[in-house]
Amino acid sequence: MTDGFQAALETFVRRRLGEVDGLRVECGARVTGGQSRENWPFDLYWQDEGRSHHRPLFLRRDPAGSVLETDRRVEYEVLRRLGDQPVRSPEAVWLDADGSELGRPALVMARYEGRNDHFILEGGTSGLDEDARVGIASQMVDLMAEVHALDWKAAGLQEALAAPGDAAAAAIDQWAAVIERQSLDPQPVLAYVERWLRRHKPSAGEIVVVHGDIKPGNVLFEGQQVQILLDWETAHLGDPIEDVGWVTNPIRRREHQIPGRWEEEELVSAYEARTGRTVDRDALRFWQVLANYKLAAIALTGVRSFCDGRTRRVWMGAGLLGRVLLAQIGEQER
Amino acid sequence: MRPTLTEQIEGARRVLVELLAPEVSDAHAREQAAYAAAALQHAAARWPHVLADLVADIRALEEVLGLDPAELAEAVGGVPDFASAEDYHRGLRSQLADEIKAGPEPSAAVRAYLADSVERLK
Repeated sequence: MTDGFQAALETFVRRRLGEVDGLRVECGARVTGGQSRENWPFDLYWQDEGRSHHRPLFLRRDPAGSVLETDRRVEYEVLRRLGDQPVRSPEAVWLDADGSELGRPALVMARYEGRNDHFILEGGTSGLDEDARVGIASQMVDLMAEVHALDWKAAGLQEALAAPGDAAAAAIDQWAAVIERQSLDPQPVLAYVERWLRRHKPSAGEIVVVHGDIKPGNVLFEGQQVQILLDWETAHLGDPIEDVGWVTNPIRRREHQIPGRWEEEELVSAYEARTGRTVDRDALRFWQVLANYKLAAIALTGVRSFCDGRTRRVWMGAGLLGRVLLAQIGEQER
Repeated sequence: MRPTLTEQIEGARRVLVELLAPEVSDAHAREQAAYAAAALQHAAARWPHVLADLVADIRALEEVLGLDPAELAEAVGGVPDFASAEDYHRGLRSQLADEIKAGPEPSAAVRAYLADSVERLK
């Protein structure tokens, strides 16, 4: 964190805490792994009415160039409304919606104990045995069911998120628009995939809160327990099978499956048992294709950010995803 | 000519991976250095094939769009200038994308081109 950023953060905090004694802001190193936001842990210390306080916090700030265009104000409003709901989401604390205080839009949330282990289901850094990993995989389904069980109307989420009439059509429109806006090259493969998606779109049905990026990499673990679900920037109202398609995406087996023990069928059966829903397998295939179409849009956004000089990472584009998508569609056609 | 472009890129990657990265203590900077090294490795492996793959893709596109192959020679003035070939290729891909979006169901030839193109244009 540069001195200027640290000073801006101190001013930002002072404006919100008011007149307190001995305020100290201690910033940690930027957390690695997140590709869409800058993530900075920091700690506040202060005295107030003779008592010492310590608050561990986490700053999520838009980078100069990202792979994903989302709004910190929406993420903040969603988290704020989830605060008193039965879901393990982080507490939203403060917001700089337009970046006028912290340089770029940012939200501050509570920081929680626990470790992040992106590939915990294949062993990761935790080195858990297979039975323990199956237990964690099962908890991941519990977490997804917890999100989908939210009463979003009672929580007032419709004030922050649009409720689509046709969730599948809305998802295709959203990501097709991102591809159109971000791509630096013509994309005939993705045009063909879009055509396929529109033809195979499931009919409109139940609308729930969709997290949009459920994965072990967005969870904190304490021992063998799932503690909290992070990164709600792609949360929206939509079809529950969208999340199921995301976690059963064939190219992300390493993150979500355990060969021979916890594969697509076990995961979907567990979801059906937890929620009482029946997962239509054609709809599931649609959402799995949509998952990679969305990833292609994200990759193309990364390419533009790099070519515009707004990020340092060289993004390789959607070539591999194009191959995967054509294979997925071919499987569907057979 | 030695060092070849592959050898030059590989040399730059070795400096990054073997000399600079171990000296970096910041985790984010180390992560970015790893991405940069991977990009150099990809570039070293891909560049010798890029022009041949581009020309092959242009030929395939001309066929699937029913165009005269002589258009490439006209577009690039008879010289396989890479930037001109890329521009011409982009125009053909754009034409195909428009046809897929707005036209009738893509033919078997178009679908075969798409499948082949994702192997060529990595």
